Amino acid sequence: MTPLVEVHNLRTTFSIGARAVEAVRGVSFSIAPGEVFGLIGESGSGKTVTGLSLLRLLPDHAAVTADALRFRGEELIALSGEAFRALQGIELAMIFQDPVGSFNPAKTVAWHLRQAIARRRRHSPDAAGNWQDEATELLRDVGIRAPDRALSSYPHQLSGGMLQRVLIAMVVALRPSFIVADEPTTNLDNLVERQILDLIRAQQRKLGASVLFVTHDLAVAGEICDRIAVMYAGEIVEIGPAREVLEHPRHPYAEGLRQTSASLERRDEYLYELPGEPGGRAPAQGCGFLARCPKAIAACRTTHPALIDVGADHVSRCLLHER
Amino acid sequence: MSGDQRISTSADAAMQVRDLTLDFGAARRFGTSRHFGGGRALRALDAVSIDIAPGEILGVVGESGSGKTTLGKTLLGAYRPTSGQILYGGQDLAALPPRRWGRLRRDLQMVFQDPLSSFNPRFTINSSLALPLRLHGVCAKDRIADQVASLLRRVGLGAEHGARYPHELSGGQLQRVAIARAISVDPRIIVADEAVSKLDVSVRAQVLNLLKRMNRETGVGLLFITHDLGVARFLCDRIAVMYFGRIVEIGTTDAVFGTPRHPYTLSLLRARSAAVATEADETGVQVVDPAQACNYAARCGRRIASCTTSRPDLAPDAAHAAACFVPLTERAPPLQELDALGQ
Amino acid sequence: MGAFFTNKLALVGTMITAIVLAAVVAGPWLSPYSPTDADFLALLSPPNLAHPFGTDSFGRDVLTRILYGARVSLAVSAIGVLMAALAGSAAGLVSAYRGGWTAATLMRISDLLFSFPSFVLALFLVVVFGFGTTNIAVSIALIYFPLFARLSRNMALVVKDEPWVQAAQLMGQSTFSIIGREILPNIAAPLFVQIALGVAFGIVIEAGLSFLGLGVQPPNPSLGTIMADGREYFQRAPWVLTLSGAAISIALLGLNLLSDGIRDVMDPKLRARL
Repeated sequence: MTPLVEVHNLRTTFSIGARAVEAVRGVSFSIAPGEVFGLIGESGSGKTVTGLSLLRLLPDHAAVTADALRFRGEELIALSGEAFRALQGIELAMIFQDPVGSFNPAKTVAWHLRQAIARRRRHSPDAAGNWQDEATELLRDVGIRAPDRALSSYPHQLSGGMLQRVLIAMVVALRPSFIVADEPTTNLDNLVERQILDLIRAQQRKLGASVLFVTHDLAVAGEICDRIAVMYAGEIVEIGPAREVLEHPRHPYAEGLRQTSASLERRDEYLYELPGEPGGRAPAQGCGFLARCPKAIAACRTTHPALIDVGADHVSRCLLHER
Repeated sequence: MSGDQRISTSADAAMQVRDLTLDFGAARRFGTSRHFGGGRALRALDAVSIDIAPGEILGVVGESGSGKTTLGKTLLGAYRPTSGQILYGGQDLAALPPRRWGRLRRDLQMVFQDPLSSFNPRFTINSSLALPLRLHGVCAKDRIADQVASLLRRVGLGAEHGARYPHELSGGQLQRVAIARAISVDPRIIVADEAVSKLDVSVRAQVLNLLKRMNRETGVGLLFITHDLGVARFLCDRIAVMYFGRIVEIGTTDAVFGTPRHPYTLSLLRARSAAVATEADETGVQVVDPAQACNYAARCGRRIASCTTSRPDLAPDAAHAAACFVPLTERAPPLQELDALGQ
Repeated sequence: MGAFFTNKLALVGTMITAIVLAAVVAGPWLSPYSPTDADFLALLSPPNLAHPFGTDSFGRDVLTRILYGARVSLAVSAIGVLMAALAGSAAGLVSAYRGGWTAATLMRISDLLFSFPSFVLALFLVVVFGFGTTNIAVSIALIYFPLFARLSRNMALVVKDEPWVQAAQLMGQSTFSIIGREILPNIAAPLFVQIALGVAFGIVIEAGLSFLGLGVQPPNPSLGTIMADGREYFQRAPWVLTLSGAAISIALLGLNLLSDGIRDVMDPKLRARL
């Protein structure tokens, strides 16, 4: 089956004055149709920039290059700005972390939904019916119990959870094939987070859309994703089936996260700690995780590890796997 | 140090909160939005009563709007309560005007949620740490630099961190500095307000371990405010669950997580698993006077008649109690099993 | 600091201002001429080797007069603006942090002053209080007081809600310490920008008043009086008016660019975290 999205050797560099920072250093992965692909990482891992790079949502001082960046087999890099914009919002959609920023505060929810519905109808005209009915249906579908009141509300009158539901309704209205969801539940309370996650999964299945789910929360990723990629210092360090990566991680970083999580569950006297901090500059040579790795060997300083097979459809970027 | 009249016996370190109530915006406002019920004050704390034992780690859990952060700040004197008492060291802090706090400021310290904005960006770490030492005369003037270095070492940082500015340190490092600042004045109770929520996952363990170590080594009490149940379960000795300004359940960590009594607590626990949280139908609930009713009644699946006509109370010194007329009695599946349910 | 020097305009502004300052401070000593003594043998000479800027209707060296006059203009303006900055910022800070009736009254008086166009207000104040450099300085101070009060108040209102201010309160720091250490340094940058701009405009006000004869009295030089002179015989000796006007413009340009530079330096530092 041809993957819906293919990324080969994506590199994104930010230039600030004379300095250049490489936020994404050669990321490759593919997402099948209807698959939920998780991208996990902490600050400085490059996970958000990866998602934004795919959708060309980065500012001008960011340079995005890749050997290949394909959507439905078509090269995205080759597309002109106009051609890409035609795809944006119809085939490619995004759910942002902070829903508030996605809304025009001077316009009602109804206005926003109408824009989304109109956009989709321009692109693929279907049987009529007025937009209000479709909007009401969409809101009900995302679990809003009083759609009429929501439609006439302004963004500031709705809670974070409600806004995120409306945002999902807007995205669903577009009927995209590929959705990038960037930390969509991070700002929400536990109970609301649970509901939104269930909602995303339900809508994704209904649409048959693929999702790139970007998050720092392992547990959340474990619930909703089919496959998971773990990022550190701008690179993917492990990819595999969600269950495998969470329960039997092979890369020392993912393994460290799992151990911390396990010691939290066990209520050890003190938690397992990974030393150091994420987000530092990636070294010029050697492994990007070296500074924090409890299992580092001499070779890690000079040899940059490649992704190595460690199981069924499971790869990890560590020299130790070669031994 | 001479003139140190601070209370140092452990028995006096306990804090007793009785019927603490805090209303924001008590005056009727013109054109208030509907969220505040059109002109009514926002009751952030609603007759909260709780005891804090010396040296214990007490977790206050709840969601946004539950009042947990407001409770922490009110105990430290940041807000003046509308009514109620905060008994500490033989005084009622709720009735004490700010200028009379004096030495009490040392006893009660705070660690904020966002480490970066809790430090003045114009001063170095060394300078920010030296200030409380100078202010409270913790040590001799010529020993302050040494003391600051020692504090940094204690939280796992070095001299090079002290010379930097806040924006040059990471979140985790800054939070350690915040803890150093808090312990620098030898407090009795530290209020940690979502102290790890804004930190990277792999760094949280470091800070949590540090907090636990401080508690074990110095006996300082910790009021740990969080929405993260897993973290609360690891760190805390006792848990208080808050819902819209009221404490709805209190007990030891094992008791609250193992056999939750209040339906809201159970729904919070369930939210961590894939099992869908069940919610009752919100419509058709008639509440005449919210002050005389359970504030969870509208969402509760176990609602009976009394729930809408009288307010269930909670004894602050109970070992394990829930503010509920129909508390749960059966044992809840442990968290691990709840997680397993989703897989 | 590195950022300051990469901004070319700011660099230019600093250099111009530095040159102006150097000329104004050192120039008068270096000049062999007196700014006030007449030399009837060299009336209205065009610029030449002996008199680079020419002479005026009394035979006085124009360059020397400009240097002395600039000194006066700068000093009067700077003193006035600094008084306004100190008093206005203090009022704004206290009003933002403490609030209360005195604060409200201060802001209302400030609004009243602010409602007058600056030059009109300056004229009024000088007419009421009398001529002379001291009164001009006071007038400038009164004109700028509301600006600094409003600016510092608005910025302080934002900063006082920052967590580090609350941390300071909970630590038991005094109000004075909180205002001076936690709030003031964090609102200083825009204030410095305003000071630079204020000095620039203050020069214009002083020059304007002196031009009308309400400021520095002859024979003492001020950029304004020189311009007034020059205007009278502009047809015969255009260099006097032109060059003194140019001197003001250059000083203004330098100060404006400098203020841009200050703003650019202080702002990106806050946005340093990507």
